[in-house]
Amino acid sequence: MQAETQKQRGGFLHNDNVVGYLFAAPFIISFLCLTLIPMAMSLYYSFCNYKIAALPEWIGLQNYANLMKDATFRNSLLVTIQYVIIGVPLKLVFALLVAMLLTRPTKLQGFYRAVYYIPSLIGGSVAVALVWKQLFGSRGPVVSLIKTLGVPNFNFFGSTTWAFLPLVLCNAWQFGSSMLIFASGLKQIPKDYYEAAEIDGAGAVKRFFKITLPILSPIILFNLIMQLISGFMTFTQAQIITDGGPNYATNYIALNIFKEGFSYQHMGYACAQSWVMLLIMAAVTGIIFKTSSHWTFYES
Amino acid sequence: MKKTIIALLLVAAMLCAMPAFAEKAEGWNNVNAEGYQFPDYSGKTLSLMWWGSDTRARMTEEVIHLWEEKTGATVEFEYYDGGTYWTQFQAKMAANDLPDVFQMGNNWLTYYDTIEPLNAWIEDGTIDTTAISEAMLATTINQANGDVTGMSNGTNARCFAYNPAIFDEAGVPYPTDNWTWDDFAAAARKIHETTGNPAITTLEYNSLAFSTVTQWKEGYNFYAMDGSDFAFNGDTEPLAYIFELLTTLQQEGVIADYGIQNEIGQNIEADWIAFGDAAMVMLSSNQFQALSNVAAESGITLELATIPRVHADGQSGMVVRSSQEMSMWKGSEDKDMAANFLNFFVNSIEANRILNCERGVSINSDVLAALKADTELTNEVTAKVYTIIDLIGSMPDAANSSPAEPAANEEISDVLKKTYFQGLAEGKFASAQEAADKFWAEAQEIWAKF
Repeated sequence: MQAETQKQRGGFLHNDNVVGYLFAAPFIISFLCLTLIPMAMSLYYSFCNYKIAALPEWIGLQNYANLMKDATFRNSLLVTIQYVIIGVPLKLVFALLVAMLLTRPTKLQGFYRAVYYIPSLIGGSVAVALVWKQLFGSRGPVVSLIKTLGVPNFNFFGSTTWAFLPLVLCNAWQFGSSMLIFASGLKQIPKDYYEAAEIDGAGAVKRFFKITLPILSPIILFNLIMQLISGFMTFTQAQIITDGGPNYATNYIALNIFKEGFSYQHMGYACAQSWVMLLIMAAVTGIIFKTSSHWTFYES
Repeated sequence: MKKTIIALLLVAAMLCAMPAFAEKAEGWNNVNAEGYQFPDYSGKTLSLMWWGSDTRARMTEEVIHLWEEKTGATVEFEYYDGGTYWTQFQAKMAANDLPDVFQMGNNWLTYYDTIEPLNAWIEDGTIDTTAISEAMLATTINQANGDVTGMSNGTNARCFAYNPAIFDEAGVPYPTDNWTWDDFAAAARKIHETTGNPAITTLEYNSLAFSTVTQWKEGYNFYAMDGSDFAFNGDTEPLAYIFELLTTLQQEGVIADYGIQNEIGQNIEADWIAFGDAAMVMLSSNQFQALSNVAAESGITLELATIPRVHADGQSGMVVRSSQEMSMWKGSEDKDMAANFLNFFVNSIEANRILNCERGVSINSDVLAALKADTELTNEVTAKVYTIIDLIGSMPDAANSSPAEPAANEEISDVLKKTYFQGLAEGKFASAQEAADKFWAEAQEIWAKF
């Protein structure tokens, strides 16, 4: 009798689904409040003339129509794509290189991995951006070096051609998470493959291209997609270091959206830009997924 | 018994009528009055936010502690550099979580919805204005409806600071009160030749473009004084003139490139002039104190000069304005406390002996007199600021009013600098005149969006 009431009372909580939802609740709630609802709102605002602290006014497709003829927005798209095309491969190559160095068995392997991961931990922080601003600034060590090499009046951040480079390098420097994923992938490659290849007379370069790269390709795909997405969203460095300049050379799309929304008070227009950016990112990711079957290799 | 009841009723009636008799005397909340009793705010918290240099932060914190001591309140404060401040402000505005009191610029029209007009507290004397002239109070009043948008922290004017030692070294004469852009260009070129460095590393491009319009001809202006419209008539010649002048100088290396200017940003204490590398800087007069403090560490003494003009005998294009104000948030939970803090911050001689006009020349005549009388506070540096403000205030075309910056100004100014000044430097326009014409067309388009 007693056991039965207990079962009735606790019945609800003993249901497997309830427990599952309960444990997932923190994620579900934050996903709803911080992602889904804001996204739905931004979609609505993208069809409105809206500024913070005022009521949105429905204007239909006007924002999107304006985007089509906005030269600054077009330029933002171009420089963002340039940033992604140069920055992402650079970061991945760097991460793979360091990961390979770190798979060599040494006593300090764990220590090195931790050290190389640190830049990623401090991530896109303002402090890092400020350090890079000093490092590559007009009076920083890098520019001084270039000047002594015989290029007078050189200044990264004063040049529309070169301003992007320190930003790309800063991003590449934070290769830690890609490196860790590569390192774990490298560990999965059976040693016998290399031994067999070596016996057949394959050199190190051939072993890398014929064994390492193909087996690692699914991991490369994963890293590529993750980095592409984060590349499209780059913001902090451009805002802190160059403020999008000079002449919009580093006015990446996330920064442009921020300016439109917060500085110029065109929040609805900024929302429309975000949606265009989302569609572009989705398209690029989709294309890569579609074509990946041609260049990724799954052992099974 | 009946008599007692009547007597009690009469007493009660009298008590009820008391407030009517006890109307407060003018100046009742004068913090400088002898024996002034500060209100007791024990256990209450006031939040406060401002932008500015480290020097300002140090002084403001000291004043905050003074007020905390006197009233028992706790003040939660935060401060940023001029650029970051607005980002923070907008984020807080979006979250509807602004501090009770915040610093506001002449761009108050953009943030009008967040500001509680101070008229009620000025009328009932909580914010004591007996030592503030009408003209000074007017610098923060919305001319369209009479709302007092905040209490001015003081007046300032845009001007130039220069290092006379570098002028001597290059053998060029010091700026005069009516020096022209041609004088400026000649001096800057000679200085660049001598030192090998840019002669100037910070210029406010948008305000220079607008003041060139004012200087061009009597009656010319870019914005209307109440911020409701353009005053510009479409004669883009003055804009082309300043585009051409500044861009040419920059291409010669006489003016620092945009990278260097952006590195310095709004942090005046990082300007090259503070370290003896640049000869000039464009700044707001109230920034001179902070800049001089840093320069003094390298043994550099700086002087103030006017902004160059187009014609030596023409318009100055300069104006004395409210440098910035302290405004009250509409959503503040204890507005009386906020008003009392404003009263203390603007009017207290004790507080302003610490602040020492770093935010601008005090609008309270008692405060200003007390500071000027004190030789320790009015040192060489502050005396130079008082002199230049007096000089600019005495110029025939410098009205002592506050041109409200229209909401579109932020975008128009940004586009002016980044698309047109920087675009011209990159060769994206065939001529300065083309850039000027296209800018005016785009400025009108931007205006139409608001």
